[in-house]
This record gives sequence, structure tokens and C-alpha cells, in this order.
Amino acid sequence: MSRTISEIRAEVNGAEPKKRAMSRRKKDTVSFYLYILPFILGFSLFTLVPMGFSLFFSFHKIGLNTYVDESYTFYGFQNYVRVFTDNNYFLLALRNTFTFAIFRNVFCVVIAMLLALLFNCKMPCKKLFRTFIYIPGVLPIVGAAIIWRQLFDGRASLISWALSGVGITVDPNWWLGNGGLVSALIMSVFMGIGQTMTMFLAALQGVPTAQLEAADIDGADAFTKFFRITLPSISPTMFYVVMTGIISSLQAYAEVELLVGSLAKNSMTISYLVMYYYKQNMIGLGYSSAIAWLLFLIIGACSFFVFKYSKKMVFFADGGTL
Amino acid sequence: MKKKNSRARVVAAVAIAVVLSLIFCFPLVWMVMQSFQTDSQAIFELPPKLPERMDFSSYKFVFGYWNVLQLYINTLTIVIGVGALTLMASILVGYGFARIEAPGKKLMFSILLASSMLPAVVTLIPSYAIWARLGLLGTYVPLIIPSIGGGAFNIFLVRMFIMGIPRSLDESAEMDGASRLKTLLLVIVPQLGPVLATIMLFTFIGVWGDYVAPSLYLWGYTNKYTLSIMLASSFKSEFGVMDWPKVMAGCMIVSLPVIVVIFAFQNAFVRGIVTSGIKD
Repeated sequence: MSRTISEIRAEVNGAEPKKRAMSRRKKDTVSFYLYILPFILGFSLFTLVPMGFSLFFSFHKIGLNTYVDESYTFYGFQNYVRVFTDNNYFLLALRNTFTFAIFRNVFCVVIAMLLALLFNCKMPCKKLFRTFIYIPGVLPIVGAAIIWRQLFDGRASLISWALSGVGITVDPNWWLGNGGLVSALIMSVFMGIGQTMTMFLAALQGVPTAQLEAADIDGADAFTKFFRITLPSISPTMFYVVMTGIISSLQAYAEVELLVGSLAKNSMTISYLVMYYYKQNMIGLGYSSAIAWLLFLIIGACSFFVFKYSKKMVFFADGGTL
Repeated sequence: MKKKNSRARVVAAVAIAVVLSLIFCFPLVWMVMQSFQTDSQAIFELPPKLPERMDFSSYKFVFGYWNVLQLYINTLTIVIGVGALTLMASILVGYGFARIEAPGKKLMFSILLASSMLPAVVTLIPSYAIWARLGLLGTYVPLIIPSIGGGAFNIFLVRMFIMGIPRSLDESAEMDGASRLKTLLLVIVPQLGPVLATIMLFTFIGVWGDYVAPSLYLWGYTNKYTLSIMLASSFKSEFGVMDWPKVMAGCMIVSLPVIVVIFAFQNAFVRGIVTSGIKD
């Protein structure tokens, strides 16, 4: 612990250092909480309070159709039971959500890794190419979804047409019909690759060159070098990418709503289901809150397990943890 | 021999990079191309055909149909509001986490970490119910005020950056009798330029493209719409799904500022993505 100026000054002035240090620490505590007050306020007012309400709603049956004059009847776990028993939408959405999250991240990470390895080579105009790759990912989601919708549109699906050029036949009406989830997946992967690649590129700068050169001298091939040296040393970044990627894609909503919307019921995700019930009528408030809380619990459980086992999977050069 | 080989490799790598760039920018190119299409049915012809000439009639239509100036002003109002609050909050909170020792700091930091992983959909609906009850639907209050928390990502950025500034600078200011706040404002903030640019850029991109929250809070209040919401609502109803050149022109009007800003601030953007992965 380094001493602060005022402590030193206090000692020089002959005051009792311990007492001064104590008051200093108290003062520090007060100012720390004052400085982080915006976060505390924001978090409690706009996260904790709404979550509390959501939990309250999920255990109640909400009677009237307005926010001014509604009635709440305690409903126990009925909303939760109904989520599983009324229809199979929840289970369908659960399956879709996990399929989406897993495939999105697998494709995104693998393709982004390959691109990062390519752009890690010496070449001219690197920055420009990199920008071209991440630009589709920052377009406003509404605009992007419209463009993709047009590319998939069954009346003249450019993508089906292009695929038939390489011998793959896909019914043009499938994309925005039964294949809605696949379309959302393609769009999402396409938009996510740029950012992931940029992170991998930065991580690749930290790969120890001395080890790579030593491996070269020992005659190791490119695969061995990648899996034995490069991958372990970028594993913290990899972990972060996969972790945040999965959490955000478990919440996928805008992609699905804007791209396929009501066209394909069997491509809905959990977030979509929540909004769907909510928008139908406000009596669905309790029901949709129950689904939202189930999603929250699922994401919480996933995060818990991933963090618990992360130490075994991630290699930290300095022995640190996340 | 070896030199020749490496040159061949560079050429091959560039060739692949060009092909990839073309693939990734294809949706953009397609949007631009179709927005200039004269014949609204041409889009349904395969193989696709290029517009015969640059035709601006779709743009004219959209400019006549939307109050584009108003939409830009609306969107920018939210960007500036959210940006100002976010900058202020993330500087204060980031400084607190970087420089002040206090009991409970670790716990607060874990809460900050966890808060970035909470599913938005859990808070979205009750938030809507609360704002509706407060009579603030159709205003920008529900879109701007919640950014008072600063956002975990921005706070991480500021915190990391401040931790990189030598403490001796703070202490010499303190020696001169400056208070903590004065030290922060006069010594630290002037050095935060790059990180603040990154935060502004991400706020801009985020707010500009935000769809879910504005569509809840503003739906129906047409004169309050942001560009994205206007595009979504026009696409859903009024343009008629068939008139693709007009829809694509609308997409262009919404997307162009983002594309321009990204090209102009590439470094700030890349810095943001890269540092988001380091959370020590």
C-alpha cells in the first residue's frame, strides 16, 4: 500500500498517523460511493426495480386492460405452469433459442478466427479490408433486416438463385417460411463476424513470437502451432467472445422479429415469445413476465456454469483469472 | 526463391481479402443499387439486373413522404441526451473504480460485471408499464434517463484507461491542494479524449440503430419517431411491401450516417471492440 500525500504530510506535521489514516479511509469510502452513485442509481432504478415488478407480475393474474386501473390477483405459480402446459410454444422457443445461440457462436467464432488469421499476415490495405468486413455489422438492425429480407424473399430469392448456381437447391419460399431461424442465423453470423474478427486480430498480436519461432525450428506444422501455441494464448479473448456471444444470442429478438416476424411461428425465440404475448393484450403481462423470468434463470444458470468451469478451459499467462 | 514464395502468398491473401470484402459489402451494394432502380418490379427478376440509370425518384418520394429533417433531429436529440448522460456517468463511476479504495468495491464491481449480462427483455416490459403509468410514453425521457447508469461497457473502458494514467499526476495535483473532483476534471478528463470518442461512437451507433426500446415507447407518436422506427413502420405498412426501391432508399437514408461515421472514426471503433475483451 502506498501512502498518500496527505498521510505523509500528516506524519511530517507530527499528527498521529493512525488516526488520520482512519479518517482518510472513511472519507475515501464516502467518496467512492458518491462517485459510483450514477451506477447505483441506474442499476437499482432501471434494473432492480423493473425486475422486481416483473417478478411480481409473474405471480399475479392481471385483470384489466389499462395501466390506470388494473387489478392483481395472486396467481401462485399458475403463470409458470401455464407456460409449460398451455401449448408447446415455450419448449419450441427454448429449442430455437438454444439452436440459434449455439450455431451462431460456432459459425461466428470459426469464421472470424479464420479471417483473423488471414488478416494477421502481412498485406497492404489491411485496415480498409477490415472495415469492409465489420461494416455490415454496425448497420441499423432495421435497415439490415430489410435488405436481408429482400435477399431471401421467395418471389425472387437472390440467395436461392446464387446457391442453385453452385448446385444447391433451396425452395425460395423456405427462407422466410419454415427456414426462418436459419435465415436469422445467417444474417446474425454475417453481422457478428466483423467485431469478433477484430477482437481476435488484437489478441493475435499478443501471441508469443518466440514460441512460434521455436516451434518452427522444431519443424512443427501450422496446425500444431495453432492448436498448441496460438489458441491457448488467445483463450481469454476466446472465452469472452463465446460468453458474451451466447448471452446476447440467447436474447435474440430484433433479428427474428424484423426478418421473419409473424411469417413463421416455428422460428420464434424466447424473447420473441415474451414480446408476442405482451403485445397481444396486456392481460398477457403476467404470462410474459413468467417467460421472461424463465429466460433470466436459464441465462443465469448458463453464466454460472461457464464461470465455474472457465478456470479449466482458459489459459492465463500470468496465472490471473477473469 | 523464398522471396518469390512470400510475394505469391501476399498476392493470394490480398485476392482472398478482396473477395471477402465484396461478399461482406454485398448487402450494402445491393441496397444502393436497388434504391436507384426505376422499375419497382425489376427486383423480382433473376438474374438480377442493374438499374438502367441513376434514378432518384425513390429518394424524392421518401423525402416527400417522411419529414426527414425532423427524423434526423429526433434521432440526434436522443443521441445527444444519451451521450451526455453516458459520458458523465462513465467518467465518474470509472474514476471511482479506478482510483478510490473502499470496502465493498469488489462486490460493486461484480455487480457491474453481472449487470452487463442481464437479459434486457426481463426489464423491458415492466419498465414500459412504469413509464406508461408516469405518462411519459411518446417522450424521450424513457429512452434517455436510464442511461444515467453509464453502462458497464463504458465504465470498463474509462476505468481501464484511468488505471493506465500514472498516479503521480493525481498526487502532484493533490499536492497543489486540488480536490478529488478538480483533479478528475483538470488532470484526468483531458487525457481521456480517445476513450470518450469511443464511447460517443458506440452510443451513436447504438442509439441510431436501436429498435426494441423506441418501438415500445414511441409507437404511434409519429412526430417523435426516430429514423429506425420510421423505417420499420413504413416498411410494415405504408410503402406497401412491393415497392422495394423506395424501401431501399429509406434504408439508405437511415444507414448512410452510420457508414460515414464508421469510416471516419475507424480507430475509435476498433479501440472500443478491442478493449471490450479485456476486463482484468
